[in-house]
Amino acid sequence: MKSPSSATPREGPLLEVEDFYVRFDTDRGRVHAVNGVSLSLDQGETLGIVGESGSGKTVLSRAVMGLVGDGGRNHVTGTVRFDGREISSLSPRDLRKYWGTEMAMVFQDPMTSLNPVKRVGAQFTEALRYHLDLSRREATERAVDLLRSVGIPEPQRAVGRYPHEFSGGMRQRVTIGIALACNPRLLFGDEPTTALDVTVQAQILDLLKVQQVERDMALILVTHDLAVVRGRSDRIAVMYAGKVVETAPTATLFAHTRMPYTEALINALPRLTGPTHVRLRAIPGRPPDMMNPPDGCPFSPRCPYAQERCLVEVPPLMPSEDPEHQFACWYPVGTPEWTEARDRNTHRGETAAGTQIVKEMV
Amino acid sequence: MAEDQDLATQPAVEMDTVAPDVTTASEEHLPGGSPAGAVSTGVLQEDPTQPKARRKKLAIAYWCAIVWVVLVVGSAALAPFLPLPDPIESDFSAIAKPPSSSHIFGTDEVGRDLLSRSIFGARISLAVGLASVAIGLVVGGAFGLMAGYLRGRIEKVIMTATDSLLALPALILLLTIAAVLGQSLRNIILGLAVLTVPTFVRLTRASCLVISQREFVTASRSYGSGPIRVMLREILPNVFPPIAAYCFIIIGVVIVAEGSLSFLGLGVTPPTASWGGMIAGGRISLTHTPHIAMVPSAVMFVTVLAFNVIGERLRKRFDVRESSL
Amino acid sequence: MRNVARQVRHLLIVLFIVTVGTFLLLDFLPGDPAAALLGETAQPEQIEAVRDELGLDEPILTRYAKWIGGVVQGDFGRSFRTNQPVLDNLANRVPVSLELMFLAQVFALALAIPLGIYTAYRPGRPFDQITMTLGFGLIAVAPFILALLLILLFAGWLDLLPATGFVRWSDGPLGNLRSLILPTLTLGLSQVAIIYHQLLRSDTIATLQADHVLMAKSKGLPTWHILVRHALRPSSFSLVTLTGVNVGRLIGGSVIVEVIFGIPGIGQMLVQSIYNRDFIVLQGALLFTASAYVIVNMLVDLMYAFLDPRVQHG
Repeated sequence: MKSPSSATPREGPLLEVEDFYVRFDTDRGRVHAVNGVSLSLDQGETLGIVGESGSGKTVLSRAVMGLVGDGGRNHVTGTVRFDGREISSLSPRDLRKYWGTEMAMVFQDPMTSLNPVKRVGAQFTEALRYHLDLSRREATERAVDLLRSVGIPEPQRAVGRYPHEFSGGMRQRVTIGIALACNPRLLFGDEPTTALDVTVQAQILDLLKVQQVERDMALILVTHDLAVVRGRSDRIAVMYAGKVVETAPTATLFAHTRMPYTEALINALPRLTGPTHVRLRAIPGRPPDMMNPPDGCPFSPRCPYAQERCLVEVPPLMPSEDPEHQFACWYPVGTPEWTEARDRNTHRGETAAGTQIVKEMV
Repeated sequence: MAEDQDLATQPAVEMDTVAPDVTTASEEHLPGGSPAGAVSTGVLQEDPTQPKARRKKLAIAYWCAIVWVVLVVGSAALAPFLPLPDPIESDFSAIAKPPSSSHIFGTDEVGRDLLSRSIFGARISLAVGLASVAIGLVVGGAFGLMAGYLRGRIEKVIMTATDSLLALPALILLLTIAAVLGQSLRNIILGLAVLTVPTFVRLTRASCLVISQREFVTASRSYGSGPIRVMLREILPNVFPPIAAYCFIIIGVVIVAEGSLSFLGLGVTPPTASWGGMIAGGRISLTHTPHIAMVPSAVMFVTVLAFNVIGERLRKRFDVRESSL
Repeated sequence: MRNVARQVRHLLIVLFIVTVGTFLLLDFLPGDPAAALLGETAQPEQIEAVRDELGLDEPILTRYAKWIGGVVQGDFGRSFRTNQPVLDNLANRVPVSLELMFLAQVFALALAIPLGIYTAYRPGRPFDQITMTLGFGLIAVAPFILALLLILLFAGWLDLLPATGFVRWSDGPLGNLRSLILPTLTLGLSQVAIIYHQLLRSDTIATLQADHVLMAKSKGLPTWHILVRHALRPSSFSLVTLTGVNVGRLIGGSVIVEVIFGIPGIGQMLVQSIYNRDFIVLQGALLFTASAYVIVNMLVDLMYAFLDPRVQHG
């Protein structure tokens, strides 16, 4: 099966997502998982999507790829363009031609994302044979090459093994190899290191990086951990309650944090430099109920700077003086309005949402 | 505040799935539709994802089943007082007659009224069904409770005995028992009760294992309750409802088993009316006078179906999983 | 291998319990087999002679020891009634029951697997609801009623198939298969296919929720490939167990179906020996039935290693 789009690079972004919404009807009501997200990604670029549990980042990545389709109890709206072609309107059958060959995904838990009763080799070759029309032998040779390139020792023997015969880190290498098998131009990493031991996390991330550079592939790294994407992404989009609340080139995001939620995430990171006894700052409260999103800014109930306006008016995602840097906040951190808001809340001892101000929060 | 610290420090807890549907794609994709409704094994699961109309239909089926069971039980209990023809007396002027105004279910090959025989046959089926399930419930429940709560050697012995009983084909065991003890109603009830015991032992033990782990059991033990008291006062009230719900399904199974036994001529002795015996009688001239076999077949089918409908609904409510068997 | 040894020991224990149990039970059979053998008009001296000949006056332990000693050497004894060796009788009947069992299982699986996978793929759709409701209804139909319905339909009204009677394979394969169509339908449809379908459906629904299915989907594989090559095998563990249980049971024949359709299998042999109080025959048939059941279950356990590679290491 031929790839649907030609291999010659064309002008413009590889992936464009516009005004994307995902909603699920459940027994208890409608869940607003993704609420109007727009993204764009160039060939070879790395985008980090960061957010807490329930921020909609996993749903977003799956829905953009088309794995969560519109229909039945799922409602997906908005446009997704891949290489200039709108794929969000394609039928499942046509969309399938993109999966594996143009876009691929590495899932969170390598323990469950490999079929336990199929040999590793077969899980490589089925996609190779289907998409690239290779013979069994060619496909197996290709699988061995791929296994070697993702760092599996003794790849000739590995193809005959079952997933349970590998360790967690090795299994994630295998799933990466499978995702890369048909040379996709865009790889989604959905928390690819979350289920792994801390010691192997970095190895897996490095492997992704190497493969990305080698193949000039675009990478979307979905994670809850800012530390994962800090040194490895070109840009970061911070998600909260199904929305992108701040997006900027990585360095800018850390240097000129504007959104209080991003600030809170950064403050929650353990620092390698500086005094070791500094307490990590937790974010008070919990993410909003996606069944009944609050009026106004979704972060306002937890935000130490929340003002009356934040409770009633939703801040749009606005560009700052730097058009690459966008954020959704009425009182962006570091601005005079923010200083005023902070002082007012410190003074009255609570935010406009009624959250008590603890000294170390501000 | 402690739980929110997880955000950055505890990577493994990420569960970015607000909706259970996330892993599920749309209807047009794979895998299909609604996981909540999807895990049901029975048709009659009350699945909130289903349209209201369907849930309503299921409720109607449930009430119809109750009405039917009440009707059958009531008419069977009151059979001798109902204005029915004698179920054993032959009417030689109406032999093998299809349903008519004088015999609304028709008559059998020796001119006996099929409605009357169906109702009197229900006495046998229901007596056997209810009595043997009651005995099985008490005996099996007691052994299951002991196995599940006392554990150790007692459990081993009980479970080995249960497994051995299951290794023999049920119907053969039943036939042998009937042949050995003689074909009386009492012996049939006893034989079928023996067959239901393993099921109840397994069910009770499984629920009991779960309940025994609960705090209130530990609490009761901690202030000095003996094992019998704990079993009767703490565990029994908790394991009873789901197992009682299961009884309805077992009654259906027992009615079929009794029918098979009578059909093979090893149930209650003729001319006493029994559904299985009536069906066997009608089999001889099946193609010429199908109603003789089909009338009791239909009555038996609807009755078993009604018990299954009720049982399935109660079982779902109390959530006894087949996997716990 | 240690596992196999343990299984064999278990098998022997169960068989011992079964033989002793049935021997004891049959000893309490009412009625004198010798009297039953000779009929109502028999003289007491004749009965005594037959009892003596059959060894019925010996203590039960001696009889059991004699019998089990014979069984070990392949001698299951002779029928009280026909004097035919029990082993010959069994050998004649086993292939018949086996054929019926095989056809019924193939039919049930051929019906249940595609249905189970398809309804799991599209649960809650009208087709799924119709099959589930039909299945629920069919389960409430007693097998002997189903048999009569099928006879009425295919033999009575449509006049397509023989109502009862069995044609041996050696007398014509076509006639043989024709005579087994209704028994196969009865056995396959009553419970078996329905329960297979429901089991596979619910297990497949669970499998389709698994990450590895989503991963397979994200590779761009076609739906049928994912259903058949990815979801079927991990979803079929319970189905295999249940099929094993049924195969084990049905090797020993199906009493109701064999009696109704007049098929000379083990089930019919069991019932006839009970009617005739021919307990040496019953004993042999029971021994065969129970061993078949236990052995097949043992084989099913071993088959898990093939289905689920994790078991070998577990």
